Amino acid sequence: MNRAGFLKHFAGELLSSSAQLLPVVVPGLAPALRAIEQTSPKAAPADPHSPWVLIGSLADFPPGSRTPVNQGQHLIVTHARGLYALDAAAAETDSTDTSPRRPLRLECNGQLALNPGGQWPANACLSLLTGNRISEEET
Amino acid sequence: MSLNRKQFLKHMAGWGAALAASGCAPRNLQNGDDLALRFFKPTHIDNPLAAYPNRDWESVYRNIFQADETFTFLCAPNDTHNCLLKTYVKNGIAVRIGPTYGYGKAKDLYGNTASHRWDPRLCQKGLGLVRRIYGDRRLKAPMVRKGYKEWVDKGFPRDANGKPDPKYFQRGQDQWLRLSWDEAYSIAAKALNNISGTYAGKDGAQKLLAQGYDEAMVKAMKEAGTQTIKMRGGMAFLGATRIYGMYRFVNSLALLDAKQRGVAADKAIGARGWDSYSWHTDLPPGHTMVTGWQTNDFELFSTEYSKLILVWGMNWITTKMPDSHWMTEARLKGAKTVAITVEYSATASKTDDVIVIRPGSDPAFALGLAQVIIAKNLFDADFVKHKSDLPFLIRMDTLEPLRPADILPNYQAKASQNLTMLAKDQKPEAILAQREQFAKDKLSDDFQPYTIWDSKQNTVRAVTRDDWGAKAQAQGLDPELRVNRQVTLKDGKKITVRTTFDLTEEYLNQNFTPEQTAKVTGCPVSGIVSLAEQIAANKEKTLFATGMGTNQYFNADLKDRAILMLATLTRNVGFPGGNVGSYSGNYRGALFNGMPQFIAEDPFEPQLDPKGKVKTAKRSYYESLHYFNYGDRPLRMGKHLLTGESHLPTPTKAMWLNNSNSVLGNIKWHYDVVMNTLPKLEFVAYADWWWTGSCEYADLVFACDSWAEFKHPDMTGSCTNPFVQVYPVTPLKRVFDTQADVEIIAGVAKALAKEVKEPRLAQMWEFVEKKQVEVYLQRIIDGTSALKGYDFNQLHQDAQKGIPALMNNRTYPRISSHEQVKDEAPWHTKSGRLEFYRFEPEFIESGENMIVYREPIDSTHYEPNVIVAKAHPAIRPKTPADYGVSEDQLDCETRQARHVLKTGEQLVQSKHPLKAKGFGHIYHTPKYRHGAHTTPVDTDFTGIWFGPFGDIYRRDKRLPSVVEGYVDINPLDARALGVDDGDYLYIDADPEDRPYRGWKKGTEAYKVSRLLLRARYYPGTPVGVTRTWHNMYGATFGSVKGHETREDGLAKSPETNYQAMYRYGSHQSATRAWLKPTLMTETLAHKAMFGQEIAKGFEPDIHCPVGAPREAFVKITRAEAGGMGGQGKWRPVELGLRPTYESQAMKTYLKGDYVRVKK
Repeated sequence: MNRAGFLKHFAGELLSSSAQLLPVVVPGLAPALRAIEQTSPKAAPADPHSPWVLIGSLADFPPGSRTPVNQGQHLIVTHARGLYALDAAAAETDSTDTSPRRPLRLECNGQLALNPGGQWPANACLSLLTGNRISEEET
Repeated sequence: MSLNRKQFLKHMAGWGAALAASGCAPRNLQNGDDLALRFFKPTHIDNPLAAYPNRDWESVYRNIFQADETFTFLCAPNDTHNCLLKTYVKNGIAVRIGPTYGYGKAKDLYGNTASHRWDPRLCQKGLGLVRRIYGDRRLKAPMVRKGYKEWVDKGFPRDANGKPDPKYFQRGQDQWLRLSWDEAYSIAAKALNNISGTYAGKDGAQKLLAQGYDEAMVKAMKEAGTQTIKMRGGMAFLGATRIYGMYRFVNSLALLDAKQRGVAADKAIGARGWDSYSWHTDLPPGHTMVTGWQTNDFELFSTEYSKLILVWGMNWITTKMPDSHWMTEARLKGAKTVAITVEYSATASKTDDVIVIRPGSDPAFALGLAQVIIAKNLFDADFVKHKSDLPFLIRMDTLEPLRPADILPNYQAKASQNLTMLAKDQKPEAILAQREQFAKDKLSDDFQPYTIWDSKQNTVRAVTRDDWGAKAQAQGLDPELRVNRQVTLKDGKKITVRTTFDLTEEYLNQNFTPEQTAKVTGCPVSGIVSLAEQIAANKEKTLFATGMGTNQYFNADLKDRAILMLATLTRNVGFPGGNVGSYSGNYRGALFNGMPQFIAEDPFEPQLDPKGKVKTAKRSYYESLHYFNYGDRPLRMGKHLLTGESHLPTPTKAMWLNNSNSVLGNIKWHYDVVMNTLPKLEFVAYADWWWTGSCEYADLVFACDSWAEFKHPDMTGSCTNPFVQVYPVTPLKRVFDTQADVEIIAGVAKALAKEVKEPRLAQMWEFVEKKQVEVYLQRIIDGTSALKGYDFNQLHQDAQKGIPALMNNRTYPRISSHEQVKDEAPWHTKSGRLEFYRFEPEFIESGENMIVYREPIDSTHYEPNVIVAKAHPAIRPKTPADYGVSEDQLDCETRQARHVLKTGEQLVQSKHPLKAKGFGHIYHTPKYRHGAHTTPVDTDFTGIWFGPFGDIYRRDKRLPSVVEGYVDINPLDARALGVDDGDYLYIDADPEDRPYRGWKKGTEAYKVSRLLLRARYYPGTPVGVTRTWHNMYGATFGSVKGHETREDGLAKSPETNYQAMYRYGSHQSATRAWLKPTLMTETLAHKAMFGQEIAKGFEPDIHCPVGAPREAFVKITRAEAGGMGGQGKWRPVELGLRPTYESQAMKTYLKGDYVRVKK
């Protein structure tokens, strides 16, 4: 391979293998990079098959609050040790919060997700520190 | 199977035919191509894109790599680099990180640009950060310890001596509760107010004395309860407002004191700020003793101008990652590189020569090199005579300098031309306007002239602070270097005087000939002589790049003094290619000399007009954290208090740390602090974005934004590169319920203002509240010599594009001592010269008035901390008997001020006192490449690099994490102990005080504290020397509970998610706090932190203790087999892949026998 061929080959390898390129040393690469890095904000499509519903970020649920979510169908109750989800209708008629607790999980981006169809044991809640399910005995 | 070439080709032809028949052949083959030969043809591809086969698969990767948007943030752990990084966001989540390539576009005020050789800037720590931004140990909300909240809710109940019931203080074993931000601020404010109020005044002092605090410490409080509050921003230079802000808060607490004690502003005292650079043992303490400065250094790309680069105790390749190329590229340009190290380090593998010396023997090695240079007359006499104090005459009766007034008739000292003495109560000019050095009138006696023996006039002549460099030569001063003669003083007394040079030469010839140096250091004679000759042959072209490796021994100051003397002898101080530097930690806050505009703004008159002039007033004190580390006490030898008055700590009752895991989680002597010191504290608060070991033992934890989520900009610089860098505001939404560091400080201030009804406490943070932090940043810029003229908003906009700016320094690269060697300004010392003789009483009493070698204080097989010296007329330290101590007393406490002389021959015949008890290995804890302190080592993707024990599947459930800490041990040592590679070991240091004072076998605390870790066979470390990386997360009560109760065996706290990297203990189980008398003097003159003042006594990060965190002498005991679940040998051993266990295949591979070159 001659020098020109080698350089072309090298450029081709770079283009196809990674976007981490060297725009400084490879003239003309910037347009190619822009194409790769073009910004067209996308939203993650909701997964119709997932039982989990995103209900907001942790900061939306301050300690000591009872916040309706999921179009008012559920209620997020927060206390100092964690959070739990109740069916809103049941919670309205039962002030002891003994209605079924619905599973919660903390997504990696800080969003809380609710599984309206699942059920946690009584007294279970989501730990704020660990993101794990804990029981209120542990609190 | 083995094939010769012919057989191979034959097989290839067959495989090629089969490939063609299968349809898997490359699609671009032309008809008629001989398939087998095709693979051996040079490739001719004109258009690589067209030549490629089906490329549909690439869309998978394109989808992964294609970002919805990008933004820039600044990654700046305490590794000195600071890198603006480009972050790629997909579906609202930062998914990967890359360099910005903007460094070559950086400009200074005059339009000068940097080069693209600074690009790309990024290392593995930054690459892995996405795992930390979203990691499971991210702090998600402000949290309070349950017991602590109860104590606060009950109104801070105490006993008659002021002590709270310990039931509220079960730190490390309690539960955590979430708070709203207002509640968190309120608790902090109430606690600070209650604690300082409790200990204010005479009544408060009585309580503290009743609790057992040292009387001198209580007196140092001056009755201000606020003095029991200690705060620290971890390496303040890393954040001009959010980290330095902690010190602004410290100063503003004078308002609280004024309220509590009812005193006027001029009597009110704020809290105490803890040090940073010296706390990390980053400070080279001897630089201050020689130059008057915090550190003499050069930016790392000075290598471009050098011919000989000594990388001394600095693992440049591993710790200076984006700037390591300057060292390797210097080699390409013809510079020679030499590693001086205690093992075959990563840097050693990249240098031309390697010198491995005994750990902590660096001062001896430097003295040995100096001996050769003087003995062979290879030194630069002019430089020595006119830039240093080596020709000054020393009186042998007092060991102090001979002053002209003592001997010269009618001598009258003139006022110095290069030093202004301020009249009493005269205030200095604003820092930006300070052109000349100045000192307060009370220091006037410190700048007396010196004397030399003039060879031309054959008499004593005076040398003032103005008579140095070319000015001294112009006056015809020609000092004799070797003087040992009697002179008659004006009062008729006859005394002997000698030059420092002469005294030093005698000491070197007595103790550090190449043969003697070889015995003490382990370096062969030929290596010593050869290196000395090379340095001498490269005047103005030898760089001494020293590092933390040498700083972390008790004799660090002597090492600095010896290396600077070596450099001075060879004319290698202050030149672009010849200089001395020390590299550990991002320290040089003085580069932003406008910082006082922010940290010292007078809290009694806060400036609320963004354009208004700021009034500054220092109303608080700083303190070395080493005293807290030492058990919250000063150093005493019997009745003798060896901590100078200005250094004295005050009792610590409240501490609040930001951006720092090194004050609890990874503190030296960690378990002693947790078990013995922490129980005395009544408030421990941490602000961080990651749950560290420090958070484990805190009372209140503030959850901060990660760098990628900044909502307020900030600014930093670097001691190793020329860039001023802005932390830009980013568009990434806060992931959790977090706040900006500076908002947290402002939040507590606001709550405290409300609590004590003092609105100015809140007004001090008005521009945070208004989201105009740039007002503070612009004030700092406007007050900074090398930044004035910049517009912060422009810097911020550029940073958002990934482009930093250049500091407007005088030279590029910045060169310490440049003005001094050009005869433009003196050093900030008493004489104005480089000083190698310290005549102050603390130094004479320690036997360190001359530069001597002291054996390490613990990391040695020999008798610790002895001064290696034959009888010498100028080495006359206080003896143990002078302190009322027996000379045989060798315990760690006594050892610190034990001044005993031994010859080199006696030294190597002596033994560490623990040798007789089965202790046999030096144990040192240097820093590793994939962590800056503990950032971000426990992140799985980063931690996995830490050594051979990483296993992402954790097949052996004993693994505390996906990685674990280990000790490097020479195979010969290991075999002697019956230890196989990969076995678990116990490491025990001096049982007198480690892992903590008062430990008891069989207790939970002892189990948590005793270090258990893997052995790694490492032939690169010498026999008798073992090593564990410093950066690991240690075991806590929570992690041990997790390890013992979790089904998966992870050493992860079930309560907090804290993840330890050891099953039990930590490398800090073996270390302890040490205080050195010569670092706590009242008499050493030095430059103040900001501006041109020369001051004396304590100065944070400049003249204060540094500890000795690399010192430990340990006993190693085999604990468990390395095989799966504790059965048999560790698998890589069984596979024959490890040193000394090599299988035949491995041996063949290592010999390179799988590749043969036909000749």
